Amino acid sequence: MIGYTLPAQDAESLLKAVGQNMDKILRFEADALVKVDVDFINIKDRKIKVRFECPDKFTFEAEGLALLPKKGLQMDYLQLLKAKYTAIDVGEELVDNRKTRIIKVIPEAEDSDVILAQLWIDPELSRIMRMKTYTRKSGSYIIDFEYNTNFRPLPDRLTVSFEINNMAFPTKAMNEIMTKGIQKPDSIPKKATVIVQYSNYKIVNK
Amino acid sequence: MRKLVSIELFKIFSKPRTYIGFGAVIIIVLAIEFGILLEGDTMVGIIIQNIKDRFIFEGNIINLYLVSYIILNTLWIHVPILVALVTGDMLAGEANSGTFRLILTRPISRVQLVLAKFIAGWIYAVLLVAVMAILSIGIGLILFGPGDLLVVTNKVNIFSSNDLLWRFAGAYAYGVLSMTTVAALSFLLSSFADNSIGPIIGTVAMIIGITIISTVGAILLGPVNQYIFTSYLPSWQLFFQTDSGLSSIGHAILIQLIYIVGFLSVTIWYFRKKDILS
Repeated sequence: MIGYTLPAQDAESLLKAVGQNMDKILRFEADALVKVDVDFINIKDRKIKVRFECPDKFTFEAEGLALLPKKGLQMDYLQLLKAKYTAIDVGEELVDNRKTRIIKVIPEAEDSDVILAQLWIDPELSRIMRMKTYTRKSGSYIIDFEYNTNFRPLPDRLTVSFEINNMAFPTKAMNEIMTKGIQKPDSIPKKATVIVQYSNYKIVNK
Repeated sequence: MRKLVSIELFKIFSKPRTYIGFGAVIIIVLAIEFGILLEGDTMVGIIIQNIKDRFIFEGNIINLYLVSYIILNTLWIHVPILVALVTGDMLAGEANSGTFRLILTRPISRVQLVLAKFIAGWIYAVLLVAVMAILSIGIGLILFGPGDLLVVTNKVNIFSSNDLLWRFAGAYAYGVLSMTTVAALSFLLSSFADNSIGPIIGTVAMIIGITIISTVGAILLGPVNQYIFTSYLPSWQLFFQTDSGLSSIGHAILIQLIYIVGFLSVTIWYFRKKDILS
């Protein structure tokens, strides 16, 4: 990371460009394969249909029961960029072999759930490559965006990483209690990763 | 032998108490199904609170499979009571009414009689579990529809609906096996007694008592618990675990079979010497 600071205007114009890039989209539809990797959750990969309608309406249609990350799948950054914020450019970093600018975003609204967000932005294509968000209610999470093309502002693969506490299971398996005894729940937070692989994008621009 | 079994079945189904079992299963299933219909969201919400903070559940969580899974838990206390209600009466009832001396004047051995009665009692237990399965799935399908199954035990397991048929078939089959153990126990107690109250209450008291002692004293009784049949009454849950569950099923089945053979052998041994004339 190279430690130099650019004027706030530059950081804001970069964020504005990202917002404008996304604002072109009126609606889109895509298939997605969701892979949940959490130590204490066993679920096979699920296929879902994602639909978005401008400005921020997301709908999901799952085959069976799917677990979707609460943060990261619904382009949360759009909400962030539409509200008032203070942006600070804190340097550069290579992400996925692309030079990115790191922008810290501090929302101005007192009741904002997001306390601080750090965005790694590809200045050439005005796309977010990585986002780390600190929230009041949901802790922190990191989203990695991967793109297969240079023309589409939407990612082909999202990796959402966060920590989750093991559950205080109210219904332990009785069989296990009776044969192995009551075991204390693990209090160490577990790393959770959710990978969303998008395909068959159908995008309608404004 | 077949004729003996059908006579015993006729006796079972001539008694009003037999229908208490089926009536109770219908009431239990209906109560659970409608209870979940009214309060299911709150119940599931509490169970998955931790995950709901981080994940969105997309799909139908409360479905026929979840409801059937919850109803399967009645195999632990409720259904054993209903099984004991009939099987606890099978030998003691005849001893009480003094009909053994009449039955055994016919050219059948005591062993044949005991086996015929046990098979008839077993058929009753199978029917009880079958009624429970058909009702849970049938009413569940009407009220909730299909979906994937969410099972929260020591892990969160989500099973696709196409992976569930064999698991439920296995769980119900295991349910039949564990109810056979209960039937064999109450049958054994029934052979000792001359009225049916003792074996019925004795069976229920033993199941509840051993369960409480082995759960509360799980740390002390850990090594012993592995060999007590009540520890394996809820082992149908193993069909809904992904990792170590399936490998433990064999052990659970073996323990149940040992107890069934053991209880039945003692029953035959004791009944062969039993004084039926006084």
